[in-house]
Amino acid sequence: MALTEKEVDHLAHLARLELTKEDKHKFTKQLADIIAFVDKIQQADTSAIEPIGLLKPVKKFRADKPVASGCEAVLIKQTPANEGGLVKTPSVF
Amino acid sequence: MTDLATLSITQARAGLDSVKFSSSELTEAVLRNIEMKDKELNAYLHISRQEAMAGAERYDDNPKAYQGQLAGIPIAVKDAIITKDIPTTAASKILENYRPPYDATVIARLKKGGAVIVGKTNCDEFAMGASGENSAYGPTKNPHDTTRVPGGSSAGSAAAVAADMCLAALGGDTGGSIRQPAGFCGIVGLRPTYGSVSRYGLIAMASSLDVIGPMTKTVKDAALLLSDIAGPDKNDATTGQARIWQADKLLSEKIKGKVIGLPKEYFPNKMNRRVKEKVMAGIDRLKAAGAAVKEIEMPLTELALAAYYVIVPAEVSTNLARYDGIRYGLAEDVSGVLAEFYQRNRQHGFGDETKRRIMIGTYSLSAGYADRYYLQAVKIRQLIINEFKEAFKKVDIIATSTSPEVAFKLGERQADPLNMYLADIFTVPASLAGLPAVSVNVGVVDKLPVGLQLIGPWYGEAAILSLAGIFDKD
Repeated sequence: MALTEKEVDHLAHLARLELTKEDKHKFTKQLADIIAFVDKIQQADTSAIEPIGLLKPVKKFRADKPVASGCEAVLIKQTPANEGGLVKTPSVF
Repeated sequence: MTDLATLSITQARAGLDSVKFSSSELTEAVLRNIEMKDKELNAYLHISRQEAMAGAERYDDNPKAYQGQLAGIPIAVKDAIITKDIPTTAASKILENYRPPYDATVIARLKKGGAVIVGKTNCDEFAMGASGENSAYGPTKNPHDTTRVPGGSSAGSAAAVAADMCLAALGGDTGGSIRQPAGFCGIVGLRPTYGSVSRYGLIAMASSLDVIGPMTKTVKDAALLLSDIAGPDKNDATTGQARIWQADKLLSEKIKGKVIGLPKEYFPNKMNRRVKEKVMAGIDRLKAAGAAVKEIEMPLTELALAAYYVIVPAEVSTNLARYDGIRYGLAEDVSGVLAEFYQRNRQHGFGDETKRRIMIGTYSLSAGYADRYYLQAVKIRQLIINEFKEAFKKVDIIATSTSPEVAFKLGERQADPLNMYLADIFTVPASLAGLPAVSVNVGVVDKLPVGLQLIGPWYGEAAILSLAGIFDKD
């Protein structure tokens, strides 16, 4: 299936990637090749097959409750931009 | 006196236990080797000399305090595995300068047992690749021929073991990332059963396939290392049924009477003829040791790689969404609006293969394509699991070549991602089924190592390691 540069642009946007013009050109061809290759999975008849969920079904989940990691301060200090124990980001809009 | 760095774990264990040398001497020998060889090989991204020597001294001060099989033994760790306070990047720019605040479960277990970690090894970025060339910090070279790749993604771990820059290493295997570089570098690489070794602290690539495992000089060493790291972990729900293994039991199954299956799909005409001959000669040695051989058919093998390259990118696009430049990684300025900030960080932080997989994953999961690609691929995965189950009703073990070729030239496949994917064609099916598989060296072709792959049923580690053990030289 042929992939257009416009579609690659859209995929990049969905994946929050910014592509240069050269990248876009190169990736369009490479991604089209990969999609053409993986398309051979259509050959198999899977109409009677249930899709696999977990490879090893988990019998019992642990309780979903928060535990202190003890490294909150280190984690905040690790962020590229922080101030007064808070993480800095650009504004949403 | 022999260079201590050339010892196997088994040999070093004997030397340490009989006080022939100390862990400090052993660790120093390894660090010296790294300093001598690594400028050329680029197997390490970070060498933790200080921490390693401190660990060795702690062992020497009180060897009885440590119970691990690897107590006092210097090992290397793939950089996709998290190590407390030691830089961990998964060979990506987006994690440059990241120092994790905790240890992966495997690291915590090894440290508690007294193992000495000498450094973090190079790999393909986020473990995506079959050559080591996708590292943001330059490719690792194959110690057997520095114009060639060591295989990947656990490239640095394989090269470090082969070049005596550690006694053993941890690797990670999603579609062949332990076995294929082990084959290319002439060492032993074991992918354990999915869920038998905790993934807690393994930087996730494709969570339904990722496994941590040993890369060693001998099969006996692989059993020792596996017994130190395997077992249930409350921080990884998929380890609920994990076994606790003892190294000697992993090596003591009888070879006589075992039936080895040779699927004809794994010996295609187009594979390297001389590689095939070496693999067949290896199988002949197993026959001479008492095993029987049976030809079998596994027709779905042909679809495995295609299904894999739908499932993995889908999981990659999800797992790598967390790298937004806010919580760790690139120190980019916080100007503009949030969406642009994400894009900027991800554009600069990720390499080409990572971007390709993220976009393929985004494509195969998007509305209108998810049924055709992702859903179809996971159904094929189920069919492949069924096919292996049927095969293991007829045979005990499946034997194949680890790769269709020997190590290829650096740069040879860089421009053609699809050709790079084909390097994993014999290792991917066992990964999809979550099966254990080991690669052992069975000789060389033009001085380049050839690997034999033995695949077992779930938790069949003892069977494959016992058979592989006949290739140990000591």
